[in-house]
Amino acid sequence: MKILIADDDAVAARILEATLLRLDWKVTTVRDGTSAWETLETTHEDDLPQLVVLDWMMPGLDGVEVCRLMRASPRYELTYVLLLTSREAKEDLAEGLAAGANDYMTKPFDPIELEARVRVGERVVKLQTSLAARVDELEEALALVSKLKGLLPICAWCKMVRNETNYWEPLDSYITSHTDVALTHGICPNCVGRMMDEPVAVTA
Amino acid sequence: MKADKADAAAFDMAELVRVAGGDTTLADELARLFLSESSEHMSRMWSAINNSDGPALKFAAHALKGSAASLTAGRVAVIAGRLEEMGVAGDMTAAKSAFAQLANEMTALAGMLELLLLPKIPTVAA
Repeated sequence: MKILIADDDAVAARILEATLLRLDWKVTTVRDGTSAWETLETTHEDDLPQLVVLDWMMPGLDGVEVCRLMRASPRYELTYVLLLTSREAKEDLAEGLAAGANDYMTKPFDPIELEARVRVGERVVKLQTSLAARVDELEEALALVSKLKGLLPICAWCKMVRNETNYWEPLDSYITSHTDVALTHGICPNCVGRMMDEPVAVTA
Repeated sequence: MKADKADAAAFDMAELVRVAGGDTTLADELARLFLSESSEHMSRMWSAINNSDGPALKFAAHALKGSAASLTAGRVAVIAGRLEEMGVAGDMTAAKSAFAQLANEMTALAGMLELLLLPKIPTVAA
């Protein structure tokens, strides 16, 4: 798991970094909110951190502003944001959570609490990622079902079907082009039996 | 040197080692980081007070308060917190007096930290 830490307090940032490295996270640390946002925006989508720890009060963009920017972009919808604050007023915490933070911690933080909260974040990220993958699968299945629903006119004699552009085409090519099914051609036992009873006429 | 009660309130080495996950090397590194960063915070605070710049005082005092609290230097964190509030209120007269108190506490803290760090500094063999 990858984590980005943004904190202008070098001592707090180093404690965070050391604690998270012990938990086997890949850690990137920056010293202000503007650098945090630039780092996020210039990182390839596949390498984005799953968890971002933002100090509230920082030079340039503060933690809440970075959080708002992140929540305005679908690129970071699965990113877990943990806000650090020395503020304990409930209205401040409400502002931080309203800006889109998933959780907050007051500074100075206890390493045991930090580890516990990061573990919670890790679980939430894994759950969200798994749910997002499941939603994608369901959407794909739904798209397939909607492709196949409705009436399909088929010739009772030659089994050609009339497609959506009003052209008649063989059933197998229709199924291949409208589903993910790959057809393999063979001869069923009934037809094999019929072939044996009615030998093919050979012309001279 | 055994720390007396006043020193223990100013800085808690055992708590710092606990915060550092029991890693004394990291605790030393944090103390060094604090010493190198705090002089800049102090200088910014002093400039802000002399320029009657409340917001600048608030930011610099907040930064020192956070670092000191993380380092378990409670007394410095408390005075820096007061200076942060004075920055918000724009009360530079009170800030001058609080800054003098902070400077004394910082000197005492730096002395304590240097004593703790001194045995770790390699000496050149004669």
